Amino acid sequence: MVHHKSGYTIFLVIIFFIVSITYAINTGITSETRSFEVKEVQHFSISLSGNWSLISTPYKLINSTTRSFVNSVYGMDWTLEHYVGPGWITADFNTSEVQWQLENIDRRYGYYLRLNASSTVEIDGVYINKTNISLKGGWNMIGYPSNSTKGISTALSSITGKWTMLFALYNNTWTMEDPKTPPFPWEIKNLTPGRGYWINISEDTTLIINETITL
Amino acid sequence: MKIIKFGKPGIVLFIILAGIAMIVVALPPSPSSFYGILEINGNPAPTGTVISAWINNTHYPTDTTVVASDGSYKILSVNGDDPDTPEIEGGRNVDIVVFKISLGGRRFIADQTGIWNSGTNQKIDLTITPTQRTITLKKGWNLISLSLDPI
Repeated sequence: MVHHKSGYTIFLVIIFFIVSITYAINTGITSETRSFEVKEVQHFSISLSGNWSLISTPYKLINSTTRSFVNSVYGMDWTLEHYVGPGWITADFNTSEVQWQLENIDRRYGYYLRLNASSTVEIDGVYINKTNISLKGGWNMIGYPSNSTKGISTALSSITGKWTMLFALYNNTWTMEDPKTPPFPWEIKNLTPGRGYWINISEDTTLIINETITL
Repeated sequence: MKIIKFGKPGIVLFIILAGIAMIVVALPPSPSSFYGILEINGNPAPTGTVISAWINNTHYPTDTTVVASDGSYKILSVNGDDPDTPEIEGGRNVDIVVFKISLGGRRFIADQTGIWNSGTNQKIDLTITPTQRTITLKKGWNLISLSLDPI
């Protein structure tokens, strides 16, 4: 009898533990540590003259839609183009949003923006410490997701020896860098936040933009 | 020394007139884009209708779809040719762009064509008019054939 009582008690204890553990799992009453990264929303302005520029956003945008990106120039005559080898996607002031192939703006990429007059693109976003940009052999239209201007050798250190040419187009003026040639007056010396770039790559690779944030 | 820079996307030209250097580089040319509406038999084309752009019977990677109830289609950006390569990757200025329409397994050619022009976005409203052919038949047996235009 005692045996039975003792066995019954043990059975109840086991059932209690099973029920308790199941309840804890199902209700999430467990002890765990979660860490949160707090990022400050930043504002950035890209001042542009009329005609074509190759631009990018240094941030991960709060609202990444193309409509939001062009909000500050929306009433103007504008065209936005991005090269996704081997084709292009476009958004344009003449068309409604549903007709745009270019629906979102990504900090990893560069974009041609044409304006019919001088204006400023205003954007809000957060800095990302590290951005990997996958590059394919040939031409790539990239952004520069960084909060600081850096020399080319530093900014492109992750792909040293794999890029053959770099172009920028800002306010209708081209500049370039060819690592094989001596310095020219039109040389790109630094990568600048807000600018976009054409980069020619000899083989598929990944460009890593590392950022140090000072609070 | 004078530096001349041409800013049109796709063609970069640097010249130092003193004769020191000249660099000409062809980046992927800015595309020629088209937008508008597509009507079939006078009615807006149904959503899901696919439009493709062809130049000299070559299809470039530019398909787009009809997206709204009014038959409007997404911007169709047609690649340009890179003059630095022997291959033809797309259009050159003033090339004629033919629009082909695919709907429910059937294919049509739009009544309109476009003109390829780098860096522009042109409005072209497309229509499809069914082709009607008349064959006069005589009483009794007739040997007939139908001519089809390849698309």
